[in-house]
Amino acid sequence: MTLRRLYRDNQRLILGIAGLLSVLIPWELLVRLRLVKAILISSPSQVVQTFITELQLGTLWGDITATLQVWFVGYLLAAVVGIVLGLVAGWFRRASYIANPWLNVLYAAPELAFVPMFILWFGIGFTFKVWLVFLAAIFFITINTIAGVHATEKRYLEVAATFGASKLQIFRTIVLPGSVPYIMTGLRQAAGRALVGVIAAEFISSNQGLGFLITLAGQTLNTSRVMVGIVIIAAFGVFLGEVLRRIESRFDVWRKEATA
Amino acid sequence: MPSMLEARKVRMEYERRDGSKVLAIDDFTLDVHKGEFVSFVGPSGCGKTTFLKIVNGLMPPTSGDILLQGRPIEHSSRDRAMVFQEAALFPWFPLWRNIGYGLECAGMKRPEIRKRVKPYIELVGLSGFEDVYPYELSGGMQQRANLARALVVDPQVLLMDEPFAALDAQTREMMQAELLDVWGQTQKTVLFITHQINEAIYLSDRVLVVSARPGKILDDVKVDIPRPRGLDVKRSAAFRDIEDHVWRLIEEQARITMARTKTHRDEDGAALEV
Repeated sequence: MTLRRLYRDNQRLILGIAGLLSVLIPWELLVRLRLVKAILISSPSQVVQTFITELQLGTLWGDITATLQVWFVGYLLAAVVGIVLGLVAGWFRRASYIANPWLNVLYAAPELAFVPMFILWFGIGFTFKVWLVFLAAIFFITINTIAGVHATEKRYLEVAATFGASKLQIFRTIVLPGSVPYIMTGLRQAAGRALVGVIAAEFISSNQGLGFLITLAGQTLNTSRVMVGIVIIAAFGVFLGEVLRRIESRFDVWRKEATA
Repeated sequence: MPSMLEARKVRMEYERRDGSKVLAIDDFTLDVHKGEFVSFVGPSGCGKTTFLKIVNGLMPPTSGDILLQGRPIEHSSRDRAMVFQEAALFPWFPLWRNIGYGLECAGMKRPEIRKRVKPYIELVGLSGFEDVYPYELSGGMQQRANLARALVVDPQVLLMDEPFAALDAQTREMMQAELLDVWGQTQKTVLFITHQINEAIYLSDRVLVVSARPGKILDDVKVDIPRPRGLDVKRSAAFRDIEDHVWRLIEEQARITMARTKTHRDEDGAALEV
């Protein structure tokens, strides 16, 4: 009876864990029973072991910080430029006509296509990676910001008009706050894309970072190390999502209705 | 009594998307005294809202003049405040900032605004809700805030565009009584649009009956029912007589509008409502 209640109250958590275990346990078993080769797919216990050893040796930190730095700088730049660009393009119709072809290019062409050119311009260091992250992230931020500005409701503008609000007042009191939910959506989508950008950059040409760690480990058949890299990246992704959700809910206390 | 608002031969014509012209209102001539409560009733699409927007200064009439205390109006100004059908409160502002929006537009600083809105929040019975966001307010409370937002700028004329249309019947009745109470305290001149004849009669000194498009003023009905009026006045014989009279005028106009909608549907396969 109480067990049933315990289950009902924590259904999400319990089923979530069950979902994880339903893959991890067979995986471990298959390796233990030697039905598949450990060198190809490692095993959960080996991954944990490798992770602990690497932590003790301190070899992971350099790669983690390298990846985070690139991500952070590229993402921040994309956020600042993307929001400003989106607000301008959303607010001034002519600006959006000018920006549109470029946004379409960004949307249509995978950012990886720019890699050879970037390497030519910036070499294979930090700058190149930041640019790739920037390019991967900015599209979603800009496009969502524009959508937010365009979603401004006519009835709010009418209220402003009857009180004789200036353009600047309309922008500050209606357009900007109304766009915040859209901007946050853009930031959230872009965070994931930016992460893809860093890892891709590190795959292609780098001598540090989690992407580099994974490639190198893969090439040397160190599957456990590959898995450790993947787990760290995934954990960072989940962490980012959570942080952005928190920020989002702080920004729109007024939207409780929609989020509750 | 001094005249607050005069409309002289106001005409409004606008273009449809296909280029054809529509005459929305024609020859609107009226005279509203200071402190008077005047309602407009008429079939859908008869141009009542258009007239209110012209008075507000949101759009210029094609021809004719609107005079506020003898001076022609040009654009929106805080001497005429609008109460909208949808409360249209900004969801991202707490109540007090919504109500003080007109003051904010006038460049007043926030602490000053907070002080100035207080008596109006009290007037519409929303004390204690200053810091609450609109989504937490009921429809009736949102409309009270809508009214307070217009009153805060201390307008000469209050323009109300079917402010209670979206409310349920009971809330609506209560709001009518509250509006009369507020009106009694503030002595504003009110132009009020509604579809409900009994609402118009209950609230007003005069009910202007507007024809189907192009809107013309068909009749100017004086409501000689003493104030203060309780809600039970709606069941009195005098009230019913006026209601019958207005309804007969409206019925005919509503038929014209309906017939027109039907023919439009026949012509282009879709109802046209302008």
